[in-house]
Amino acid sequence: MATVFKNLLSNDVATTRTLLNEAIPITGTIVSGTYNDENVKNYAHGMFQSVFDYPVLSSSANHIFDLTYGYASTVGTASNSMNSKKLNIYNQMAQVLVGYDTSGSVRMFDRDGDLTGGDKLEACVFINYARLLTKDEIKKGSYTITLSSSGTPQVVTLGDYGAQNDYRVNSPAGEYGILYTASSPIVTGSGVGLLYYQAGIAVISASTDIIESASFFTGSSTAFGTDAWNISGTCDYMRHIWINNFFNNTTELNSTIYFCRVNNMEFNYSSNPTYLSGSRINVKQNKHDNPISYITTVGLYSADNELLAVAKVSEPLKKDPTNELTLRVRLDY
Amino acid sequence: MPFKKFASDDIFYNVIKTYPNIQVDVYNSQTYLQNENLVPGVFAPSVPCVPTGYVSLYEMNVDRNQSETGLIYPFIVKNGTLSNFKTISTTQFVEGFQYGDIISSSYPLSASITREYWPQGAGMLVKTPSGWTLTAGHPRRHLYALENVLNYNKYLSYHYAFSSSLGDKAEQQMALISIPSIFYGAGIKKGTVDLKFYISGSLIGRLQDSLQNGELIQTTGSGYAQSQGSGSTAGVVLYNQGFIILTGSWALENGVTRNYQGGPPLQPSSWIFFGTGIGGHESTSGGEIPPGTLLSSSFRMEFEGTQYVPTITMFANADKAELNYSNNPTYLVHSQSMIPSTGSYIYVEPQLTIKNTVQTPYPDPTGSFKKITYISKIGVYDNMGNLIGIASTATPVKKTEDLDYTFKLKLDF
Repeated sequence: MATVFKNLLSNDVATTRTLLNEAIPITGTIVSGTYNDENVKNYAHGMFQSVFDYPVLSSSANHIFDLTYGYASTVGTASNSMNSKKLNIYNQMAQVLVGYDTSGSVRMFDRDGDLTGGDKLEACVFINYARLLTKDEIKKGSYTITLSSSGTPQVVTLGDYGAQNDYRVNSPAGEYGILYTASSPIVTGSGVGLLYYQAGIAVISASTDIIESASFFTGSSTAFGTDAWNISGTCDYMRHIWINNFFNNTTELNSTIYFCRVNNMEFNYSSNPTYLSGSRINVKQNKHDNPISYITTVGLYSADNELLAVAKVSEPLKKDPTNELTLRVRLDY
Repeated sequence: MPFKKFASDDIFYNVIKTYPNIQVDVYNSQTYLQNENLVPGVFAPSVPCVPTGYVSLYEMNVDRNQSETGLIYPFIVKNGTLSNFKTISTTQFVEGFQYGDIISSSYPLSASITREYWPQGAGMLVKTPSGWTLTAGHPRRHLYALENVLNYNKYLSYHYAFSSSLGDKAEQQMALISIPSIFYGAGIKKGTVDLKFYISGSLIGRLQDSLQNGELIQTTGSGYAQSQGSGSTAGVVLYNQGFIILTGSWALENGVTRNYQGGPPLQPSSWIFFGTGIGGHESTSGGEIPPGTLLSSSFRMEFEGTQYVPTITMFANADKAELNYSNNPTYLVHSQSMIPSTGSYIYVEPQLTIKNTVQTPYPDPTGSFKKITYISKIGVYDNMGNLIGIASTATPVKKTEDLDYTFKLKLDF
């Protein structure tokens, strides 16, 4: 129990932020093949499917992402399978991730993020990663997904190349980057998808007229999945062409650092009962000796003198009037 | 969207106290937690990527190995905050990495119950003319670290005393079982510790802290074991720290010796050998007991932990004549012009008509208009106006001006 309090001044307190990352590989062997789709959960409504890293019925299984598919009213026709649900999926994702225009209409996903014009992503596969994997956000510039293609080249890798310095901020769901098919050269307007970093959602175009040389999606002339496939069938196809996926996530660790300064004439005495023996300070041999104390603990108190936190030093620090100490106490939260 | 402030009697803080039951079985140098057997995966020898009996901290690498699927691992970039992984020493951090370098660690991080065994006089700290030295064997440093807390608990039982007429823990034959707090939470619940010693599947001895004072007392067992130590104290439990110290060395079997020390001499079954094979410094040489060494003995340890779950209960009131308007576009009659009239000196927004949703038997209702909203979500904001939580109702709740509701929101963390 402290008997001496020292107020922390404004220049004794500093805040920092550390970014902790995790490297997340999601190979194609996890999302299809290995577990005979026992790690995939389809729902009665059929509007999306959930993918786990182990068979769903096991308590060890972690949900890793949801897959779904949707398209805009510009490419949908009533004869398509689950037409209204595909429209609903697209509109729901678009209103959350792209927002509304001035007339109150839902905006469409834009190929280059410039909402004023240009190509739109009319049919899209949506990969909603679980928060377990993305944590606070996906690290910009770290995302790649490799898919097998029915066209040329046979294998295509999409990535948010260069997104560390080039990302968009005009989404209500946070920052997003463009997914390109090649890291070099990055051709403006050649994106085939979008990656929303804080939301943890990848939007990949399913339109063959957008993807052109990398026509890994097959189906009708405008977009795969617009024909007789239902949403889960489209998701199955996506999982089966999935070769590899890799990204880094980010967790923000906020810290407050308290610099506890111990001046030369301070904290040289202890209220510990063992400090005294018969009204004599144990560590003093005669009256001219300096008092000595050993600092083992730093207590942080509120303005009402309530003990809020305790910091311990690894070994007691000797303190006497001839030395000064600054103890750096870091509180992570 | 209107904001409404919680009044002081709208928010309650509570703590729920729970007692999770833990069961640990040990047989043939394998530990089984909560009756879970080894589940081999397609890519990894154990699905959770930790052996049976272990707890994986984040449980992220499920059925993964490095070569097949890659492991999830953490990393940070060295910068001015001086943040670091505990596995990296200060010297390594300062000298081994430049600013901007990536410092990586590894998953899974796991916790497991361990046991340390000391024969009489092993690992003791003794004073010699040349200074303090350790005797042969695994050092008792973990035991010395518990000296103060053991002596502090003497008010509960004298069996806690580090050194007394009942024995000196610095030199006597004994075992220390260490239980990480992830197994029990804030502490082990008093009166719930139950240790069972089996030989070939038959119970030969049972220890319980039936007096709830930390003493582990032999309560039942075989006829021989009871004749040797019925009602005797074979050890103590440190409830808050998660340690079990076993010192009872009376024989539980008559004339039978077994390989409890990982080598000769063979020893009779006794409480100091409870949990042999659980892992840790268990043999006389300080190593682990390999599988196949001890096939007849098995052990079961049960206890209840104590976990505190802080909860906040918030009452969100929707009073009469409140929350009767919605910003949802469907709240208004469709296809109305929302374009304001503007001029050099005026700006007039148009009067918009609210859709009348009063239920009538007619297809186009013309009855009395009432403001009706459907409450589907309640957002909780902090004092800075940041949305920090959303509660959704199972079904939208119809709200009219003459109705009032109280929604009870509960948040556990």
